[in-house]
Amino acid sequence: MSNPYTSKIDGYHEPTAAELAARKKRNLAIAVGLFGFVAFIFLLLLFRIGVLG
Amino acid sequence: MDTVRHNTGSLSGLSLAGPGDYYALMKPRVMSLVVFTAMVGLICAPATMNPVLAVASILCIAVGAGAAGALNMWYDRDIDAVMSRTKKRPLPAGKMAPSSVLAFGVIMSAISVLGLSIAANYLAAGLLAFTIFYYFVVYTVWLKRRTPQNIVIGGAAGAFPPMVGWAAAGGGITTESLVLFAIILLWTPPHFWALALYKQSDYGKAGIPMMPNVKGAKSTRLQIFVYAILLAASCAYLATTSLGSPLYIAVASLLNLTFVVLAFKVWRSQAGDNVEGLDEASLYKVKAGEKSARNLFAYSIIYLFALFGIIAASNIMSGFGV
Repeated sequence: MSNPYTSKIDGYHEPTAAELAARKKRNLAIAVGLFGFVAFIFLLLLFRIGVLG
Repeated sequence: MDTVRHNTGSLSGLSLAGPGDYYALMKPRVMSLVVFTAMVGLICAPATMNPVLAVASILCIAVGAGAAGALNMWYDRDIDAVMSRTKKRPLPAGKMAPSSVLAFGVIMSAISVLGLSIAANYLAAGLLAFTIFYYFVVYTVWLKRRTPQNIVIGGAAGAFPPMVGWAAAGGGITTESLVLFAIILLWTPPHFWALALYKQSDYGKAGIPMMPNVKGAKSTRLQIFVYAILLAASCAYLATTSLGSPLYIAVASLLNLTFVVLAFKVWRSQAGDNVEGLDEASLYKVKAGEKSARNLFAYSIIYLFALFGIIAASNIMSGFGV
């Protein structure tokens, strides 16, 4: 819960370097996964409608 | 305020999980079996498929199997923490939050079914969706903790992939695809009960009613032998369908004969009689009296790969007129 008068967040704990590094890896994996999914569906549709192959 | 958020054990609430942990959630070893049997179904179906769409279909089936595995790990995180074989999985190890795993499983399930509906057809996508539902709801949530028949009925989830592959290729649902389903269904009890015979203390600790814990080792050993006979019969029946060939008959006979002999040795052994013993994370370390069960468990994995391999190989060879 944040305190509206001091803008200080109660119970906030600074993430460790290892946690930040792990989060960065996860974010990159999500980005790659999302791009891969969009490209995968796009290519599949092109194959299905006969533009490719 | 609770300072330990998301059950990750971390004060900041951020987990240390990396992409590799999410991959582990998808049970890669189980996935390899699913991919292989689905591929055999796809190859053997009496229909042709664009190779790119075939590879995409297999990818979707693999992701669907992985998603089901992740949902299973989400629900079973309490018992996974108790069993030596599973306590190092990402959730019981505290590497990630349960909600993250649930979200991952649901999203991957949706992606796999959607992808298969585009790459193949609605029947295959529907079968894949039903497989995920069956594995998660029927097996994991409903049967696993309630009845020693859990893996007999739940084994159907692992038996669907060749049917999904067959349907993906445009073969629909035929006698052949149903027999491929039956083979894996009948293979599952001897495979898992052989493991349960020498790992029953592990399952017992978690309160999972596996057959040796509930009906006793002697009854389980007999049932293993009976299922081995039924498995051999279903393989013999496949020889009468379009998938039968002299090569298949020769290799399948040898594979099934070995399976029945090993199952017979388990039946006549003392495996599982002494519940106290090794409680290692290894799948293969056993006491002297339980080697027959360990041997059957190890052989059953080779058996399934070899059997489906020869079904695919003989089908490909017949396509070339060999």
